[in-house]
Amino acid sequence: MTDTLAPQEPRAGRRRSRRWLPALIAVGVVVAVVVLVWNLLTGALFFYNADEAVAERSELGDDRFTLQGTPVGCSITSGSQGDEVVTAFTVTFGGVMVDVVHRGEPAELFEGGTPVVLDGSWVEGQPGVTGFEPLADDGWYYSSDRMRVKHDNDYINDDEYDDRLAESETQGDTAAEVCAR
Amino acid sequence: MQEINHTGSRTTRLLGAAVIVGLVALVLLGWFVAPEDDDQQDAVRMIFVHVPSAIWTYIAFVTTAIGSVMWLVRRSVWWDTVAAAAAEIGVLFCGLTLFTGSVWGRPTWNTYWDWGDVRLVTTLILFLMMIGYLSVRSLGGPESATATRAAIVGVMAAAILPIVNRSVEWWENNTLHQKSSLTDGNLEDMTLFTLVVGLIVWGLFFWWAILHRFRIAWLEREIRSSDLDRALVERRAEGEPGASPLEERV
Amino acid sequence: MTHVGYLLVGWGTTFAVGLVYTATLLRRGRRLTARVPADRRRWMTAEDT
Repeated sequence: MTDTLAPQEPRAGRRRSRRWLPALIAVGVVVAVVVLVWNLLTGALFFYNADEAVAERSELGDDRFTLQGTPVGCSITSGSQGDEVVTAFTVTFGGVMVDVVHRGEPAELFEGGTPVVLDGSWVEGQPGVTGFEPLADDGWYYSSDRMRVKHDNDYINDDEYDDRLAESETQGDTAAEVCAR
Repeated sequence: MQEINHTGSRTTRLLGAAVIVGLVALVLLGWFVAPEDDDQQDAVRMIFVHVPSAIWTYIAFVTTAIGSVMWLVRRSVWWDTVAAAAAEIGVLFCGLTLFTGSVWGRPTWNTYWDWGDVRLVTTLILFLMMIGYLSVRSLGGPESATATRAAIVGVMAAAILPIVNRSVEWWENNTLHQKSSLTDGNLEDMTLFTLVVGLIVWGLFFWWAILHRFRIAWLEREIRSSDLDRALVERRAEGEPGASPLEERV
Repeated sequence: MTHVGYLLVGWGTTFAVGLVYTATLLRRGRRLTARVPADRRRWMTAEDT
């Protein structure tokens, strides 16, 4: 009988015991949001376009950074560097080319004309990959171990590789001209 | 008169039927009629569930923000209830946006996730903020104070919506995500048509769900209000002559 | 067809989550409706009865 006569006390107790979960979630959310915002503000992911990476090569030194560029189709070569099987190619952005040696499996959509985002660092010297003719050939190459593809929002199925290269605003005609030589 | 023991109505039944028909049409169009993409091949078919989830996430959270403002300005319980209903559905859509985007990202970007990617992470922040909104609503306490706290979180979350949406334009070099497929993209006619069908079906489901969720919230308010009424009656009865000594002690 | 696994996971999860949420809404609606008198359910109209 006491329970029905004094409904508020036991109910308040039950509520308290049930509410630790949303309170915990709310606190967890605040912490997670702060961590994520901090992560973004400190630039956890920032791509240097090929032209910027070349311009800032001395500042970058042998630091690890992320490089974005568009692979030149005719340059893509599967070969070996020492004992290691690698994929070598040249990327271009803003009319500037960078030779790349990538260790590991290339991305599924990796092809000439579709921009890639690579993690790695500058190495001074020739790539020395069998069968690869470096198009930049400036005494440096970018050694990469992670590849992602930055595809665009063009889902029209008539875009031939050469047309896309010619239409590209960012890379000029460099790649098309080089491959045509 | 037939006893009704559910939150359905003629409108929700019509919406529900339209959603089922629409989903069948979407599966047929999305899997068998829309063309594959030259680059992505059939992975592009993820667009038909990913983009509608993303667009209706925005609409749901904008609805929450409008409801929140209406609560803060006018103390409208109706709008507060709409805000809460839209937030729950928005969280569902936002979770699906993140999940389908991640699954789509593996074959196309070559990664499920990147913690530094500005579009991915701002979407995750939005998702977490709206989970925070729902948590605040579940914390209890006086209803008015709970609604006010939740409304502030709802408005704050809406404030980052433009950042989430425009991030692919503003920070091109901080995201793998392509620009908007709907406003800036080039789509094959049948791909665009199927995408529009997806948007309509998601919209119908949103309306079906928000009507049911609103009614559930309404019922919960009614139950809380009748619990309060009952407690007041019992309290009053304690002070009346003839109440037992035990009641008076409590 | 390529990428069938990814498509099944993406579409399948979307549909499964939608279905579970739908069932949850309907069940919650039924449970709560039983606790509230008909005259206090504002969506009920003559056409629905």
